[in-house]
Formats: sequence, C-alpha cells, structure tokens
Amino acid sequence: MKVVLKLYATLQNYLPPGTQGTAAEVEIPAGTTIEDLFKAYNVPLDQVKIIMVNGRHTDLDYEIQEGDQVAGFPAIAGG
Amino acid sequence: MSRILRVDMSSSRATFEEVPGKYRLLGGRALTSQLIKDEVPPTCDPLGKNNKLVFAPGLLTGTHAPSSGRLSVGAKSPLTGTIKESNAGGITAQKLASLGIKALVIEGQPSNDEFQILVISEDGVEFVPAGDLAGLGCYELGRKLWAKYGEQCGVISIGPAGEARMNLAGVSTNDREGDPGRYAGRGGLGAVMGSKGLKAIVVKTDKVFDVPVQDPEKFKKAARDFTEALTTHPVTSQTLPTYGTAALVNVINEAGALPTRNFSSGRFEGAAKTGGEAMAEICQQRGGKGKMGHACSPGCVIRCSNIIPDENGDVLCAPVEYESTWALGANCGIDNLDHIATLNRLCNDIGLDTIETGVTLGVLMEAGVLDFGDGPKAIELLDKEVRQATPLGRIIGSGAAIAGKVFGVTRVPTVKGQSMPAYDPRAVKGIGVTYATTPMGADHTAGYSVASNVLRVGGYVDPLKPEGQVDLSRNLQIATALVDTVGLCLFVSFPLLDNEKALPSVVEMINAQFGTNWTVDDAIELGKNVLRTERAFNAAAGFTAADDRLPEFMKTEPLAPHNTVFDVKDEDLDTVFNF
Repeated sequence: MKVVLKLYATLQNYLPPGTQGTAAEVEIPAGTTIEDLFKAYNVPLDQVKIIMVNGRHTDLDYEIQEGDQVAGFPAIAGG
Repeated sequence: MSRILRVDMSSSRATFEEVPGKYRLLGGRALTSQLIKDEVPPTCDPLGKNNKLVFAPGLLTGTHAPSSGRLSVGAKSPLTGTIKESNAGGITAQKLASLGIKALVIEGQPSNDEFQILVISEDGVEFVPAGDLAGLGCYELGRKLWAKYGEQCGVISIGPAGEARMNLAGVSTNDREGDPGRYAGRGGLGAVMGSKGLKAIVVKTDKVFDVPVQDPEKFKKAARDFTEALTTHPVTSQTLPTYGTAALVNVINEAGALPTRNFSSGRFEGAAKTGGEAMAEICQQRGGKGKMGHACSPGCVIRCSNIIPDENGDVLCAPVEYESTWALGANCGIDNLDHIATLNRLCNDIGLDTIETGVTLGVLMEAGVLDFGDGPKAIELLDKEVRQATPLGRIIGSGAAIAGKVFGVTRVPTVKGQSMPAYDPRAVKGIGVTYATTPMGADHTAGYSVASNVLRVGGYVDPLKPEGQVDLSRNLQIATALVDTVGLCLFVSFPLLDNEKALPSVVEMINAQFGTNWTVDDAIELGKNVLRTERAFNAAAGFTAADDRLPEFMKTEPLAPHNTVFDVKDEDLDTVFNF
C-alpha cells in the first residue's frame, strides 16, 4: 500500500534518494509499523522526537494504514 | 553599586538614585512590572505624561551566565491598555547592566514636538537634539549613531511608526552588526517611547560582562552546569543553531495549527518554502553574508538567530524568525521567502512588531484591501502608507483589533487588543489558555504550552483536548515570569523543562551573585509574584475575567484539518491564577 513519508530538519537526509523537498510517497506491506518504516530508511530512532500521523501525535508502534501521512521530526522547539 | 537612572523628558533632567531595598532582588520583567505598578496610574493614558517607559536588564544580565543578555521593556500598553513587558536580545542590556544601571525609567513628556537622543556612557548622561535623525528608519539611524558614537555602542531606537505613536510600534535594540531587529516588539512600546520625544538611547561603553558577582567561584560552577544543560539539550544545541526558530513552521503546519490566511485554516500549502530548512538552504546556496547559527547577544550559547541573504549575498534581513516568517508568510498566504524577508526588514526599519503587522495585514486581506498572497502589495503598504503615516497607514498602524473594526471584519484573532502569534488555539489548546489569560494580551512567550502540546518537551498534553491545559499554562506562566526576570532567553526553558539539574543551577547563580540563599521554591514564588503584580495593575485599569477570553469565532468556527474549536471552559480559564 502507498503512504506518504515526511521527514524534517536533520532527518530530511533519510528520505528516499532523489526526493524533492521533505515528503515522499513510499510503498509498504500491510502491517508495517512506524518503527519498521523508519528502520527501512535507516532513520536513527534515537533522534526521532516527534511522530505524527495525519497531524496527530503517535508512537513508533503505530500500524500504518493505507494513505496515511507519516511525519517524523527531531527535537524541535523555538518560539 | 547598581542604581536606577531616572530620566525626566519634561525637563531633560537625568538623575541616578539608590536602589530601594524592595527592588534589590528584582530584575527584568519583575522590576519593570513592579516599578510600573508602583509609579504609573493604571487608568492613565498610555501616550500621556503619566505613563512611564522602563528598561531593565535581567538579574543575571551582564554576568557570564550563558544566554542571559535580555532587556525587559515595560509600560502601560497603548495597544492593550494593560501592563506590558516585552523583552529583547541584542547588545544593549549587558552594557546597561555593566554600567551599573539596574533600571532606566523614562518619564514625563516634552512640551514641544522635538525628538531627542539620550546618550548614556561611563561619564554620565547627555541629551542631544535628534535633529535630522528624526524620521529616519532604524537601519540608517543605527549606522549614523555608530558613526558618531563609535561602533559597538548599544542603540535602542524607534522608527517612524514609534514617532507617529502607532499601536504596533516596537522598540528595537541593535545586534553586533549594528542593525536593528532585536525587538521588544509587542504592545506598542515604541509608541510610548515616541510619546516621550525619545528617538534613540545610545549606550556607549565597551563593558559587556562587568557586573560584579559576590561569590565568583560558586557562580562559575553554577554557570558551567547551566551551560552544560544548554549545550547538551538537542533543541538548544542542534536544532536552533542549525535551522533557527523557523524549524517550527513544518512541525506546527503538520500539527494543523499553523494559522493560515487570517486564521481560516491550520495548514498552509506553501509552509515548507517559508521554514527553517528553506532558510538554511538559501544561506547555503546564496552564501555571502548569509548565516544560520548567529548569536544576537554576546555569550549566547544557543545562537538561534540567522542572517538571510539576498540574491547577491548581502544582508536582506537578520533575523527572520518563526513568528515573523509565519505572520508575514502563512498568515498572509505569502510563500515567497524574499517577500517575507523584505517585509520583515521593513518592519525592522519602520519600527513595527512583525506579529501585529502580519496579523493586521491578514485582517486587511480578509477585508479585500489587498489579496491574500500579494507580497508586493503588502510591501508597498508598509513602505509607502505606514512609513508615511497616511490615513491607511495609520489604520494598519492601529493593529488588527482596530483595523478589524474599521473594515467590519469579525474574524479578528486578538485578546485584549493584541494579535495572536503563530499557533492556532483551536489546535493547540494549551496556548489558547495562555493567550486568554496572560496579563499581556495574546502572547505565546508568556506560557509556551506548545512545548508540551506539540513538541513533546516537558511531557505531553494532547493539544486537541481541553483537559490538562489550564494546569499546563499556569505552571508555564509562572516559570516564564521567572525566566523573564532573570534575563535569560526564553529558549533556556526547553532544558529547564527536561533537565532537572538546570533550574537549581539558575538559582545557584542568583545566590552566588546576590549572596542569597534561595531555593527553587523561592524562585518560583518570585514568578508568582510577578503575575500577581501585573494582574493587580490590570484589575485597577478596569480589566475583568470577561477580558480573559478568546474571540468568539474561535469557539464557533472549526479549524481545518482537525475541525476542532476552542472548548476550554470559561470557568476553568478563571482558575489559572488560583495560587
């Protein structure tokens, strides 16, 4: 199934090669968790601080659904 | 021995006073708010002779405490009618503190329309007629003052907007390059400075870290511990220096809380073009003077500031930070970073609060005065109408609340007359509690609930639910009042929230400097007292619980993409200050 993977700031480098910008459509098998997906792209899990699916916070063990927008961020704050 | 410098603009007289005992352990926001509470009639006209403009470095400013170069500016606000404290970085606070000036109180009012420059140096205080410096934008003004008084002097100034006493005029302090842009922007404090006939304050000294410390060894150790907390936390050591505060654009947009086109949506399709990642890319591509990881004041170990270059590599604007790229970007439907940076530069030059300016432009766009997304027209409005103080320029200069009334717009995102910053409270409900209840009018810095609502700093409280938001906002408002008093940059809050050793090291620095034996609880009590003082002023000025509310549309218009409204109950908002 197809989902959108979005990685920002220092995690941007782990998007599939050739990605323009911060998001890429990727194909994954059913039953994939966010942890599985991140590991498949070598995203260093210890650097992932904020995870959202469709704009809502979630965790690594979330099972991804068709069409989900999965976003990962490192520690970010400011004002 | 530190003193209070009192400047009477009615008689052009300056006097140094001993610091009364009750002010000895106050600084920054605690001191500006206490002085205003003690000396300014709460019902006075903010632009009249009875208002006072107070500048105060923080308790630790001018020492080697890291990231402690903040300058608090306070007065009764012409924008909100409340007490106001707005603080800024730059190079001036440490110089004032190093000259032994604990507070600078500007009072009275000249009987003519002439502007003056106040020059403070190790030799004393001098009043100089502004002459043809009046009317200048802050960039040219800063260059001329450096040429006359020496490079590296501190310059606090107002632009044409402050001279014209506009509600959205801020007070600028310069950076190490001599440019304006470090603004005590909020609440129209620039208009108060203009009403005093004061175009600029020059602080002429090479001293930066010369504030005496009672116990240097103890201080050194505590400062080292605190520095370690800042340089090991991932936000203050990695993200902020690499991407600046604008790294927030993408995360807040993803969370569906980036106010877009005058708070009509929580997502902006052009967000990525306006964020910190895009800025870092532009700095790299264009090179020249472009830079991320720039420090706005000496001794800052965070370095969240940036210098955005133009196409030739010259300085376009420094800094462009999150609030500004949002206010002048997503909120106006503008996704062109060069237009945003140009608007930001114009704000710095004319002397405008970027948040209030962007929100007011958004309201004008809603009214059809210009189209959403029309950067060139927005640039023209600021450069021609606001700079020249034409009637339309003055409507913009009045701020969003008044501009909304003039044009019959009901979607006006203000509290107590002050524009909301870059988080929509329908999707970040904790910040909505802060906007509604802080004594300052809508102000994200007064209790940054976004940290726990969205950024997972200091725990997690679901941003879309009403539960837990009041407690979150209360605790952060208290802690923030303390941080603003100590003179620390607010961004130290992230390590303070996550690292249990950080706050004790701040208290240890205070103890080492002043010979006190404060505990963390004593410091928290100081934060509470600041809020009590400010609330008492506002109550005497006529503010009630009915003013501690968000605008009606936030409760009735669902915000995409989560389609939520602000639903923290009024009776719960009224418990924020139950301490």
